[in-house]
Order: sequence, then structure tokens, then C-alpha cells
Amino acid sequence: MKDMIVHAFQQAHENFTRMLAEFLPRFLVMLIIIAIGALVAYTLKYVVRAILRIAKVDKVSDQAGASRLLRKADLPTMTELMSRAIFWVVWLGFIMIGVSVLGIVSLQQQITSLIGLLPQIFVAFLILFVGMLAANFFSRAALLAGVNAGLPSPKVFSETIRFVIALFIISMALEQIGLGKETILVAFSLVFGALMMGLAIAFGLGGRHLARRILEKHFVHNEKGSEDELSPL
Amino acid sequence: MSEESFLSDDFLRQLISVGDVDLLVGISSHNGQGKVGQFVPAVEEGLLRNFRRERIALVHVDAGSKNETEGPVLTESAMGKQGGIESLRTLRWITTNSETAASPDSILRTMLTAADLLHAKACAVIAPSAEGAIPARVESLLLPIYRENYDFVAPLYARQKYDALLTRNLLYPICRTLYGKPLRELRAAEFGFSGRLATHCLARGEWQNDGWRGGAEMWMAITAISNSFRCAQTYLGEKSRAASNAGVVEAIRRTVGGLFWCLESTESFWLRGAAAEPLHTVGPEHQLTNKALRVERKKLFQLYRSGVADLSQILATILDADTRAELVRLAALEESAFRLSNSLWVRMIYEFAAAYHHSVINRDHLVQAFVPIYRGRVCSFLAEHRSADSDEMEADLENICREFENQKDFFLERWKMKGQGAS
Repeated sequence: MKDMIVHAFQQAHENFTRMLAEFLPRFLVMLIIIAIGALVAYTLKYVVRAILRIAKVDKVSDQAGASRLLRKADLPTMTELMSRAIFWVVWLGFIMIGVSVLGIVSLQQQITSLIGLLPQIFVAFLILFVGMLAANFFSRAALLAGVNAGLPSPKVFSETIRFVIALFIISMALEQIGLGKETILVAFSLVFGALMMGLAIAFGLGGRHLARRILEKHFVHNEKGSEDELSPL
Repeated sequence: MSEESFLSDDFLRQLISVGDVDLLVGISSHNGQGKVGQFVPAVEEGLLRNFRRERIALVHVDAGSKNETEGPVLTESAMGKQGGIESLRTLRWITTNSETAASPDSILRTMLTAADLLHAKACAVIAPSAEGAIPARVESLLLPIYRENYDFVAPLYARQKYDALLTRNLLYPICRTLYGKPLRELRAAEFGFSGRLATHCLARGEWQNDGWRGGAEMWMAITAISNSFRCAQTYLGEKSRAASNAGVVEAIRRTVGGLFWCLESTESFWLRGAAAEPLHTVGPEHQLTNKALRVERKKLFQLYRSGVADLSQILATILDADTRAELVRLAALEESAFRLSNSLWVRMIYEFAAAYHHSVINRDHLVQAFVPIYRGRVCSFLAEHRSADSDEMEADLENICREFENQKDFFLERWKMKGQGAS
């Protein structure tokens, strides 16, 4: 009986030692890969940052209105954001390679599925970012056009455009990562339809005089505005 | 030369058949059949009266008219005989029409190319809407170039005292301050130029971009000034009001956007400090008329007030906090008490120009954000000068120019700052 127990312990000890002997070198390799990855990622981050600074990406970002969006979201500058993104993408790649060296099947499967989702998440973020820039640009253009044409409530007009574009972009981004496609489609249709109907009712009932003025202004050219009498040049 | 490629084969054929000329007059038209028809004999008369011994080409560019503009131009022309005067050499008409609506920039480029290919010594562009003594206009624009070797001749006009407020409040003072030349009409539809200047302008790469957007004439004037071409200005009489009734928003987009773009492209000239020089002027430098105009100041003020409120976020990226605060304070006043001072106006222009240079937001949006402020300035100007006579208006113009000069250092500092937005 005693011998059996001792044997079992010995067996367990041997197993543990063997497993440890097998695992530790792999773990060490993983750590080395991750460390090399960090080094490579840091180097790439600084190289990319330098290139982006030379290319004056922050100036382009300012012009496009992206910097303002980033500031609003409490994010760093475009150059910093892109160089950090490069760092994390490269380092995560190395971490995943390192983890795969461990040979843990279930962990590997999880990582594989996460890797499979990463491009979609990246594309979704890209859609969101570009979409928000477009929303910002078009709403500002609408605001300026409205103000300069002397339309009443140009801000409402501009914010509506921003909201509709944002709604459209968010639904596209969510669809990209495959989150509840049908729910999003239905929700989008409902919100968009309700918005348009609300606007139609508001404009038709509440603003019929305004609608008449706008239509007259655009389609009846029998009267010149007072400002037209003054030539700026 | 590369400019040939954008000309039609037919137009090139006509140019080749003409050969070299001494003088060239360019006229553009767009759906203006009757007007151009009446206009053509007067242009010919002006040419034949003074230049019978010269070889002359008249270039008519139709900007994609839907009606038949080209035909009447040719038939109305007596081909070298007007008012009993006959050309001793050649007087040839060349016409081209674009299938799509051509921009004013491409029309000017076509005329410059024609001048270059025909080796014209002196050229003039005449606005088809010009009224009054057209023969005298042709003569006034061509003579200083042909006989006195000037390279650019800008027009001077008699104006209604409230007209050309953008020219009076911005273009003239900034040209005088930064380029050292008191050119009254920086952006004119009629002007004269030498073949040398045409060749110089064509050789530059600026035609490929859309930075000036409809302001090619202004760019040409600034190019002449900043490249030491000999410039002059000549009085042409009263300016046709119909010619300048473009919408204010579009006029500002083209003029202010074009001006800021030109400032950027010629910064190497004015940043080193151009010495102020008088400009050779033929005829009176300024004449104002008092024709009655219907202007609703209240509406202008309302547009200023709502613009400043609605565009507060955009203005925050362009203007300094102090300037913005002052605009907001003024917007809260009653219309009768509202005055937008010269110093605030000039400071704002300089801040807008620097913000354009540093591209703090999309440049076209930035220029559009200027419209409500211009309206405020117009409103204030109308109230201030209600009973001003010609001399008082001129004295006020001097004050505006002085203010531009006083704040020049502020502008230079602001312009040179790297990555500068509004504080």
C-alpha cells in the first residue's frame, strides 16, 4: 500500500518534471519571441512616426478635420495614433506567434478566431473614422451654405446631416464585424424612416410658410435680394 | 508648347493661318448673342481709329453658349472697316467655342495662349458687358502697352460710392501694403497685357491647380506686380453694374480664396518687404457717383449676427479669442449702434489669411466663413458713409490702408508661425 502511494507520487513528480521540462523551454522561447517583438515593434513605431512627421500627416489631418475629431475623443495626434497602432499590431502578432509555441490547443483556437476577427475590426474602425470625417465635412459645408444663404436654423440642418451620416456609418461598421446584421438593418430603417417622416411632417405642417419662401427663393426669380444691388467687386 | 494641347484643332488652325500680329483683343461671351453683336463693331472701331497700320487679331471665346453666339459676332463685323476707317494691314477674327461651359480661367488661358502663339506685342481683354465708349476703352488699354512698353494695364472706373466694397476694403489696401503697388482694381474683367507677360504667365505651373478658382485675372495682376513687370492703370469710365452682379458668396469664394492663394504663392516676394512705389496712372484715379441703391442694412446686420452665432465653432479655429469676443460683442448691439471698426476688420483679415496659409480647416470652408463678417463690414460701412462725399470716402480709404500697414508686423509674425491655428 505504502509502496503504491510512493510510486504514485514518484509518477506524478516525474510527470510534472517532464511536463515542466517540456513547457519551460517553450515558455522561454515565447518570452524571447515577445521580447524581440517588443523591440521590433518599438523600432517600427519610431520609424513610422518619423516618416509620418516628414510627410506632415498631422497637417493633412488638420485640413481634413480629423485632428478636431481626435481631440474631441481625447485621442493623441494622427501621427502618434498611427505609430502606436503600428506598435500594437506588430507586437500582438509577435505575442500570438509566441503563444502558439506553447502548443496549448484551446488557447491556439481562441487566438486563431481572434486573429480572424482582427481585420474586420480594423476595417470597421476605418469605416467609422472615415465616416466621421465625412460627416464632419458635409455637416460643416451644409452649415456654411445655410448661414450664407440666410436660411433659418442652419445648425439644425447641419446637425441632421451629421446625424444621418453617422447613423449610416455606424450601421456599416457594425455590419462589418457581423454584429446582429438584421437587427441593425431593421433598427436603421426604423430610425431613418422615422426621422424622414418626422422631418416631412414638421416641414409640411410647421414650416409650410418657410417651405414656400424657400421654394420661391429657388424657383421664382422675379425679385432681386437687397444685397444683389451692391456689387462687392 | 504644351498649352497647345487644350486648344481645339479648329482654333489652332485659325491661329496658324493668321500668323504674327502686333495687337490682340480678347472677348468672351456666354449666351449673350445680342450684346456681343452690338459690341463687336465698337471694338473694331477702337482698333481702327488708333492702329490702322498694325496687324490685329480679335479673339472671341464663347464659353459654351447654348445659342448661336459665334455667327452674329462674325456677321456684325465689317472685317476691317468701321466708321469709314479701313485697316491698312490685317484685322482678323478668330473664334472658338467650348461645348461645355468654360470657366473664366480657361477663357483667359485661351487668350494668353493665342497671344503667345501669335507673338502679339500688346493685348487687351474687354468685358462683353462693357458699356459706354468702347472704342476709347480699347485704346486706353492698348496704348500704354504698345507705345510705352508697359506690361500690365489695370482699369480704373467711376463707381457708385457703395459699390466694390470688397475691392475698397480688402483688395486695394492689401495690394498696396504687401506688394507696394497702389493698384485700384486688382480683380478686373478688363485689362491690358504685353506678349511678354502672357508668355511668362503661361510658362508657370499654376494653371494646373484650382487654388485661385476663377481668380486668374487677379493672379495675373499679382504675377505682374511680383515679377517686376511694368504696371500702369488707366481710367475707362463708368463700370457697368450688370457686369459685377455676381452672388456675394461666390464672389467672395473666388476673390478672397484667390487672393489668399496668391499671397501664399508669392510670399517670397512680399515677405522680404516690397518697397512702396507709385503707379503710372492715366486719367482720374478715383471717381464716385451717387446713384441711389436700395440696400437693407437691417438684413445685412441680421445675417452678420446669425452668422457669428452659428459659425462660432468654425470661427474659433480661425480667429483669436479676443477677435472672436469682439465680434460676438458687436453682434449683441442694436443695428443702429453697430460699427465694425477698421482695426478689427484688418486684424480679422490678417487672421483669416494666416489661418488659410496654415490650413486650419478646409480652405474653401474657411473662405465661406468670411461671408457673414463681410456682410457685417458692409452694414457698418453703409451706416458710417451715408452722407460721405467723394473726398471723405477717399480719406477713409487712406485710413483703411494705414490700418493695414500698422498691423502688417502682426500679420507677418502670424503668417510665419508654424502649425499656427487660433489660440
